[in-house]
Amino acid sequence: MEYQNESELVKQLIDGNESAYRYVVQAYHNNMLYVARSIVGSAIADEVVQEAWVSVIKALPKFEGRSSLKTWVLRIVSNSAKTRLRKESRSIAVGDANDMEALSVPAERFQDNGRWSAPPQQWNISTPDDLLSSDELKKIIYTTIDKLPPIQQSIISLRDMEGMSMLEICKILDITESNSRVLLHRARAKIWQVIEKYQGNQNVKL
Amino acid sequence: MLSCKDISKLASDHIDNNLPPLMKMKVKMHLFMCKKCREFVNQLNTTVETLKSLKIPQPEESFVEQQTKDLLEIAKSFNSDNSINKKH
Repeated sequence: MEYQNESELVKQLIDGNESAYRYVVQAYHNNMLYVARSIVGSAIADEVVQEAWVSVIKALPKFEGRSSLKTWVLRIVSNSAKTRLRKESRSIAVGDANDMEALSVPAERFQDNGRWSAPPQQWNISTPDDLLSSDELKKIIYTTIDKLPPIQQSIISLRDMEGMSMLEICKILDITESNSRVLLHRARAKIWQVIEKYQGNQNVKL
Repeated sequence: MLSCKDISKLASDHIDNNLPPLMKMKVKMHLFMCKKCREFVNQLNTTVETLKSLKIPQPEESFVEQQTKDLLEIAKSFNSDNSINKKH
């Protein structure tokens, strides 16, 4: 079920409408989980998301629509996660954000002088539509996203799959724009690699 | 001169049009001359476009079922609190 406008969705949530709740669980829950994992780590992310849901439901009557409902919900997740960290006097788990120099494309694909030694081969399946017509490839992409470090998972899903602005993502995840861009690129390069591998395997089959 | 390795690091910023003017020009120069990097940038672009058409995976149906039930319970408890407050 899709909602015409968010104020209608918010109203139905406040009224305790079952299909409205089902809709937000389906549409928001995994994003909430990714954001929580990025900040507190996987072990207590589920708990943080549950705490955040309670805060969301409590605060719904105060939602003013200045951002999208999803952004507002994810900010609440982020705040719950940060509060949790403070309580446990831990610092934010920036994941691999520290390791900013790591390459997105494996170093062994380049020569010492920086030229390609293993350049990308032309793809037989070269449009998004054709790529997505393969259920196998879709599954591979989902599995790869699932295995990414949590912060990369958050960034690539919010940016590329959900179309959220980088500024908003940085606010939610509490990271700098330059870090977020490196992490986004690294996540994309990882997906590029699995698509490349898939194309190679198709060639072998032909 | 930028190397192919440099281009491989800058490709997302190039695709997203997020490079400062001078760097943007350097990347364009390299791509003009280097077929391999053009191929890489095209493929990365296709990757991003593919991701844009994908939805983020939804939780398992059994989870959605249980979570919806739990959240409704919480919502009801808040609603009854609110109505008690209103009466007083």
